[in-house]
Amino acid sequence: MKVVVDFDLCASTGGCARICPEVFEVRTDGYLYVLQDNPDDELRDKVVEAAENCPTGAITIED
Amino acid sequence: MSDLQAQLEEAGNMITVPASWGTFDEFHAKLALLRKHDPVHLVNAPDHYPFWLLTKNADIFEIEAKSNIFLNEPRPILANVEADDHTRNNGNMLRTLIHMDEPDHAEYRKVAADWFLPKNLARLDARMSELAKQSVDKMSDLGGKCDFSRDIALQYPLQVILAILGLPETDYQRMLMLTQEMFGNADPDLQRGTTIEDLTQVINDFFIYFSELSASRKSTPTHDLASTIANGEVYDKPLGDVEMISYYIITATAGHDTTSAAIAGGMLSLLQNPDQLKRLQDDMSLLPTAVDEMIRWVSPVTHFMRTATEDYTIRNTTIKAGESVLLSYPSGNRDEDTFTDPFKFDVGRTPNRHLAFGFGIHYCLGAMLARMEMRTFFNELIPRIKTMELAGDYAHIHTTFVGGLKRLPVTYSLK
Ligand code: HEM
Ligand code: SF4
Repeated sequence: MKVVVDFDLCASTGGCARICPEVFEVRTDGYLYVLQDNPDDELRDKVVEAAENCPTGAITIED
Repeated sequence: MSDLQAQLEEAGNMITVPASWGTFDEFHAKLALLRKHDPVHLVNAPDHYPFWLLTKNADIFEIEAKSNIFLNEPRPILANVEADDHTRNNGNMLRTLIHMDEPDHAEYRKVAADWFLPKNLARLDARMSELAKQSVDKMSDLGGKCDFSRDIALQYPLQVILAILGLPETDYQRMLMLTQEMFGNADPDLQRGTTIEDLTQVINDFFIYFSELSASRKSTPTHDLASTIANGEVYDKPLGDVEMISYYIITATAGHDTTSAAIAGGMLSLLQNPDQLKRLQDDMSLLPTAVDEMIRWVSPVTHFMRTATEDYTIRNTTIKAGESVLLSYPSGNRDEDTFTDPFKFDVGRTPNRHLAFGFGIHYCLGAMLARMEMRTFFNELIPRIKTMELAGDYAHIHTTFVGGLKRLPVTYSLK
């Protein structure tokens, strides 16, 4: 699974980080960091949930 | 009925009574009782269709994240039976983002989303600083004494919104009145009246005003949010009239009273906690966490609602398809299981998992703007404070939906 964030869309809401902190983190600089681009499959459900709840549709999952 | 049961029932009913928001501390004490004893509480209050009151941070979060099951329509905010029936029979007067679900919601949200991205908001920096400085200068001009809520906190966010929409300062008073009446329609000090006809009149005034604006921005687009909305497209077609006017109304109103309430309530908290004010003055790098703490503390939006499309069980209670839940943000933001010392105002609080801006697909469109406004304002004010004190009784607006202080008398000496 590959996680891609469109940083032109991301509004740094931190929503994804609350659902899946293993993959997403919003740091004090106000930006979102993707901690792992290719997370293990066991995180798939959480990453999908994060993507579905992103208010700007910035997260996509490839394969 | 046992004492506790009676207390819980009263606490639940309070959510439907506008005056209870005015009792701020008592309101919070009752929410704490519900969190402890009945976090998924059925409210069967006079004059209201029943709903489940959710008071735990984790539960509000869970429901908001399930936007495929819990919809905003047909009951996005609390209304009495008469108003709910009116909407059911006549449809909504407005159709804003909060009245929409997928797929429409995402499509309509895209129209303005760009405007609110941090990188685009950065353009507003200079104008915002100028407005913040003017506000603090005005405090100086008022000679060491003012109603901080009415004279300062209510004005600055509206000026920012006017700047974003690209409206002239001469429209200021009119917009101020309309917003206040729309949200303050339960407060005896602000309202034009209480009936549905009165509210319809307020909305009609907005309609006329924004229709004219929209026509002018269509013929001559300028680089402002009003032009973006006027020329907005959904599903490759121009925005419909109702949706367009609704878009103006939601940006104008949602961006105004909320931020005003957070600024005034934040100021009050700093005055009530001089150690925290001092801490911030000594280390202005705490400003971002201080602003989020103010927003948590005040929670200017008291709730949104969702309606279940299928049976859903939460904390062993089943919400049936067709039943509604009310998400109490002020309660979620004082949850003992989520926050250390939730009743302590802490300008350095990290992490701060408050839900004041909601969560998920409806997450507040203006959250970054609101934070930026507040940081800019307090960045100007805090370093200039020599002394500042409460100077009499403060008062909260009466509402079941959005609002904060309507009166905050202060005395001060500024640099
Ligand atoms: C401290 C200030 C503010 C607070 C506490 C606040 C709070 C909220 C909340 C709780 C929601 C609903 C979220 C949900 O259903 O999950 C919301 C939605 C919204 N807010 Fe704010 N807000 C603030 C400032 C603003 C500002 C400055 C604007 C900008 C004009 C704004 C525009 C909106 C809009 C357009 C929505 C609807 C979003 C949607 O349904 O997709 N808000 N806000
Ligand atoms: S939820 Fe979406 S907008 Fe919010 S931080 Fe994550 S990617 Fe960015």
